[in-house]
Amino acid sequence: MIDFTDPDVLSHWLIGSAVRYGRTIVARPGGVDAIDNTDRFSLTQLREERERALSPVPYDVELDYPGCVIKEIGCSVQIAEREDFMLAATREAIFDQALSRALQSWEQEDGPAAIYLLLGIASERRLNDAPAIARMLLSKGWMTGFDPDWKRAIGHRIAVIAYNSATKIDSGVLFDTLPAKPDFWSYHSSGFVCVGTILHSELRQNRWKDIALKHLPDLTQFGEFALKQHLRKIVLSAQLGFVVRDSCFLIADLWGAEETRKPSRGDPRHRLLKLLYGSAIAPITAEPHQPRPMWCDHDKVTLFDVVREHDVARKFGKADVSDVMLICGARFEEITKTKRFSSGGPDAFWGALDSAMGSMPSWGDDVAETVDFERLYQSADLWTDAGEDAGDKRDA
Amino acid sequence: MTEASHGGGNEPRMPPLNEIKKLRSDPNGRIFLAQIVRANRHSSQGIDQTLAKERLRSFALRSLKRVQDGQIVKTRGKIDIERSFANPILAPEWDTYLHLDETRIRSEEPLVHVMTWNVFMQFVLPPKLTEEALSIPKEGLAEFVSDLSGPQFDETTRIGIVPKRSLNLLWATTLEDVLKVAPSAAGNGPIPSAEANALRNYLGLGHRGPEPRGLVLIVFRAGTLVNHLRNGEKVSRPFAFEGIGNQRFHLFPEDMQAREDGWNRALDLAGAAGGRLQPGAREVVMTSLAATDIERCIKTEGIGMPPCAEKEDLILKAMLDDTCTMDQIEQEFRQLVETGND
Repeated sequence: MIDFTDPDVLSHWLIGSAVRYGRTIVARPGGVDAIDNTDRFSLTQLREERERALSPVPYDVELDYPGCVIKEIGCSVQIAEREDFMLAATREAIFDQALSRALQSWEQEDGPAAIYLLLGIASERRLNDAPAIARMLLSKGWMTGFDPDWKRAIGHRIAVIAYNSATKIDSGVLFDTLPAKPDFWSYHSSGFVCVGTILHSELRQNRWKDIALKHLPDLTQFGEFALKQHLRKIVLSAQLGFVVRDSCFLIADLWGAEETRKPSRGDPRHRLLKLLYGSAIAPITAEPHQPRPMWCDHDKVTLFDVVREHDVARKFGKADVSDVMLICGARFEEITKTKRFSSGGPDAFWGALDSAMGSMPSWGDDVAETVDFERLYQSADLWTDAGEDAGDKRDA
Repeated sequence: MTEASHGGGNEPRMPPLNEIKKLRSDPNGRIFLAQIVRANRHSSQGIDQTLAKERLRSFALRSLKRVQDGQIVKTRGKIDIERSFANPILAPEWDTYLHLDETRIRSEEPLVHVMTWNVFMQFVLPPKLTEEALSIPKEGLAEFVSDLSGPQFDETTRIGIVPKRSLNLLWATTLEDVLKVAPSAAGNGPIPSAEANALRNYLGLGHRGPEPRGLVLIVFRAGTLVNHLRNGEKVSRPFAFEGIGNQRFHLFPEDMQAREDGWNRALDLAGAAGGRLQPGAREVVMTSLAATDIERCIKTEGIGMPPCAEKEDLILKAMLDDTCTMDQIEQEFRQLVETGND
């Protein structure tokens, strides 16, 4: 049984086992994680080596190194719980203390695999000191000379650690420094760093767009399944309402209020809008002129509310909310390629309006001031014409 | 049939009875003895009874020899059954399986196959998707997984009992059965940890302990297995050896219904105090399946509950019904190992 009472003994065991277990793995080409070292070991040898490395902790073929160690902590804590509840809590604390020491006493000669494995436990346990230790590891230059794939794999682990405690100061530093260290960077880390930076930012609702744009070239290297999750996480971190608001602002920048400009296809801002709303993997379901609101997971907003609440009109240089609704709605349709009034013709407009009115808190004076309902009602017919015109232009 | 089919020549002539006593003095050793006796009882219902019995006898003798030679591995002070005995036969032999009863399962019936997240990542997902999964924050993994279906997997990847490489079958049953304890499996989202926990115990996987990264449920049509059968491969539930020390399998009666006294129940008891098995639950275990047949994947949240510390006693208690004592187990075990020496 492993000694869970002495952090020194435990940290010594951790380092030793990580070094030995580390021999059985190699960094995956590209460096996102590590895989079995099958060049050096047969499957039986792998198993035997790992049993030896982990001893007295049992090796479970279905778990990785952090998994085996964490399972053992679970066992130890449970045994302690039966005797003394406090003792159980102490054991967890002692383990984390030992892990922290092991990470700090790792030396270059111990090899990249060992630190990679220890960082894996730290990440899984959300070790409090982990971001600070990771920062130190990166700054000391101990990794020079290591295999490039290992460096990227370690960089990826560090990105996960920073993401797991995104609000910590040390994590903020890691978000800034990691992308600037090409040795430790691969696009695989960009999702964690991008979303982590948004979460770290105090003004995340205002900064999400710039952060996302900065990481867009890396993010778009992912396949559709992963990219979808990154986009989704970006939207949820920044909150859907703010994402839609900034999307309206982007529309103002790209198309302008008078619909005279056309955004260039290569413009990353246009690409971002397409990805968020108009791609097969778009995290936001947007049908701006349906009674239905825009959705992302459980968050929902209506374009109407966003335009009204966030003073989007000012960005367009217009005073009139309904005008701006028209402009933004048309652009969202263009982006999402949904046909205006595709289900139900002009009736859908009344549906949208009813729904928008239903969501209003009260009939206060301020509401009457900001929304010109008379004009909105009148515009229903005009709108249909404008839509057909826009459609014709697109087709041409 | 007088010759033992497997390694008969290397076995000791006389069963080392002292070794049986040694096994009996260890909590896991007692489970081991009881498992073999149970397997022996079940072998009388198998397709090839003689072969099954002979293999069982041969295995029991080899195991006793290992005890005699001191080749026993202990974990936390108790015999580690898997590492001491079951290692060489952990990868099941294809021809010892029983067939899936086609008359019991409609071809459109969705079946569920349960595996650990780690195995799913290592052996089932194509490398490119594994890389991507590793690059996604945890909260997005369930969604990521639920987007996947057959076409995303490699044509050569198989799920289930893939010899040597990965023992990735934890459990397989009907979706209907799973929904009883994990209603969220009907939807597209992740199965919350409370349901995942209940599911784990229900399936008799409680002894496995916590799964920090959770499990993956793979849904496919029973029909794909039936087609598989016609291609000449066997679809099966586990039998005899496969249950020994191999936590992925359990034994159950002929009628494929879980029983209060079943092995499933034993593991269930081991997993959680007060964990209950629903009587009449259907049990299906199958052989390998092409990953391209996957209809959808569902991820559970991590299961944070550590394993029961005294599971051995609970397992044994559940395995030995009122009419069966430890003395009887020993007696039957002796009878089994002695039969071949006539």
